[in-house]
Amino acid sequence: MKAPVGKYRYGFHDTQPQAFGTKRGLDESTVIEISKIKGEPKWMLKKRLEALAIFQKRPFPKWGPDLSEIDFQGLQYYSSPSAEKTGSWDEVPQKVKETFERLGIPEAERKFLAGVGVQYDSEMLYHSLQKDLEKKGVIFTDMDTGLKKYGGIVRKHFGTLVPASDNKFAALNTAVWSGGTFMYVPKSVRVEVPLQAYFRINTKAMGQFERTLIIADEGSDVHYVEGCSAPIYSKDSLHAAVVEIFAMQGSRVQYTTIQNWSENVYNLVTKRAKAEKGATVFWLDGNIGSKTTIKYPCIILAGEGARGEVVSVSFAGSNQNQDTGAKMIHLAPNTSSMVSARSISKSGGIASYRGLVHVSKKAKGAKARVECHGLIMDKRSVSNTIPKIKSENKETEVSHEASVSKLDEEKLFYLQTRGLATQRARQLMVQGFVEPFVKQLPMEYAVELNRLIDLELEGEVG
Amino acid sequence: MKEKLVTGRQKQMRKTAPSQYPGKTITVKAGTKAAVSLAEKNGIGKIIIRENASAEITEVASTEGRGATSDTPPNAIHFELGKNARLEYWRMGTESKARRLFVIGEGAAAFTTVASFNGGALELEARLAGKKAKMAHRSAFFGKNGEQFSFTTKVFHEAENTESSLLTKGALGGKATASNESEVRISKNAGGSSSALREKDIQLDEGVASTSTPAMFIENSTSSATHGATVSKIAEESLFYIRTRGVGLEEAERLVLEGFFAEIADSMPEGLRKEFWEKIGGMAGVKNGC
Repeated sequence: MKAPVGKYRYGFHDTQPQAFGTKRGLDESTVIEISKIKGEPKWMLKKRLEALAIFQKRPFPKWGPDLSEIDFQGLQYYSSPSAEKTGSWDEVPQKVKETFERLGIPEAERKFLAGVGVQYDSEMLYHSLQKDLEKKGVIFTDMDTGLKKYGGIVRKHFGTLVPASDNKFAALNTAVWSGGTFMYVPKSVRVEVPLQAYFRINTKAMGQFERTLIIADEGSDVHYVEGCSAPIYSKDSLHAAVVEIFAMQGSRVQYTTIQNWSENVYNLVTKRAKAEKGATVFWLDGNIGSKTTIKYPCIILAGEGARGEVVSVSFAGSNQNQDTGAKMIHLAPNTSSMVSARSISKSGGIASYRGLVHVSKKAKGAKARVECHGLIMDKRSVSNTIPKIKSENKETEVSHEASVSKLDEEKLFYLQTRGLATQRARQLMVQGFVEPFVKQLPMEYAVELNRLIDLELEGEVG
Repeated sequence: MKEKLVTGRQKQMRKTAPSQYPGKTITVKAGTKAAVSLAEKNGIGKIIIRENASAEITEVASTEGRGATSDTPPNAIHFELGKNARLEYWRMGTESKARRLFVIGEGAAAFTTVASFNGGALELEARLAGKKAKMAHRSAFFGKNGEQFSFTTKVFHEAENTESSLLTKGALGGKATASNESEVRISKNAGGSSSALREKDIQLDEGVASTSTPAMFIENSTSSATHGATVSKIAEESLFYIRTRGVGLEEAERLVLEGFFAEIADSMPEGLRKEFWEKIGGMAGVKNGC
């Protein structure tokens, strides 16, 4: 393993040989090959090929960050370090194991997680779940196993929230997806501690296209955490995931992402949840890494009294473009939503909030609130806010507020009079700024996020 | 006046601007004061207010634009404010398609108030091109009977220490719809600038629809920008309070709407304000599209 590069301590890569990888580039043969490796049913191959046609026809979005430099034919669309998946950590290939140990995953599993899945390039290599949860009927496995073992459930839900036609990158994911999480929580089962999946890209100029499907049955409760990182290479990689979450009546799903890709990864993901009657979906979305991120978690409030909340933070440093936000679609009466988004841009980074609140004719009594705040740390950086509010119902309350500003100099001065050095005072103020996000995180993640922010601001002169 | 343009889009806008404003030019000479009344059909394409001059311009839009289609060229006027010039501009619009551009020079200030009834489209653009240029814009609209409103409001801060404030208040009844797109850009050259944008929509009936996109693009760390937008029905607490004073429901609604629009009406000259209240009063009984 090589030493970490710069401040990004996950920038190392290992020398684990590929057990199998498709040739670089994408055409029908790549898609057929991936499907063949996985021994999939015909309906899935058909879906993949239809999606490929959509991807090839669909133009790039005309808005948002520049994506013209992505070399689709230079990417590798499938890479696997091992032919086997395992439930035993000892059976994971040594080099891969070392990587994840260095990332702290086994330690986290021992300390505070109910289950762990780890994906390395295209395949989920390891999955574990506490025995008592298994006995209660909780399914926590990789998507490929989900398709094999629970084909009926997958077929019923796959692509219904995020169809391939949704956008160019959802089409790409549908065509070449591999790995990801399949989770089912039975009726009234409460998973008291978080389940985590960790996604790692190791191969140079790699495309990782995991597909996640989460079904929380009536009255259940689950917290899913997702982490990710990648080595630093001179060539860009692409991460285009699709996540579909079904929160059935009265259930509660919390989805936490701490995105910390290296700064040569395009992170273009589509994540959507549907909340039925009385269900709650709570989304915590942290975007620290990547070169360019385009991500707007969406909650469709489909049942009466459903509730959605997105709390997010993004950090755009040098050469980073974080185009993030949230979408709340109110389709039923007395639904409520809340978005609280905070962004920090520094060293020429671009942070944008792009969001939508749509209250439909049927959503009588709906309430929605959006708050977004941007902090610009220096003269080279940019902060944008592009919200959209669409209300088609008289009996609603929708509000939006936003601000963009620099660090408050009076507060900075106050901290300095208490003996804090300028840099420490600035770090503290930024930590205070992201507090609404951090305080929702499990303790271990909160500590890590604060550490990341300190690192990002290190050597900062203001 | 030193002008630095930032984006390619802005350069494009500047290049194409003159041809979009055909017609006669009115000039208010340096250091003088002028009061001008305009009607939509009087063929004015440009109004120049020279250094230290001030102008009060009232425009009561006619109904000539009624039935305007997407092919109809908009009624367009380009306002140019020289150093330290001041403009007060009031527009009472009916259904029409109009475009107004304000290019505001160093130390100059434009105070604009627009009231729209009967639907229609208004594109308004302000370029704060000189240091300490200021723009304060207020807009009120009241829709009924399936009327459609479309507002596009853009403010570009291109120089240091510029200020803008935008306030929009709208009420929609009887299946009326409104689209409100606002854009505030503070460029890298506009250090020390500030912008505040507020938008409040009241929905009076079922079947109305309101879409708003209050966007901000900030490229400067020494500037600050805020925006707030709300969409709701008429405030029930206020209605209840007034009705406990023995006022009927319809009158109570009218009073709440008067309170809602007061901060916009207050900036109008007396004659126009009277006309505005007459329209609001006459329309407060339009609930359910009758």
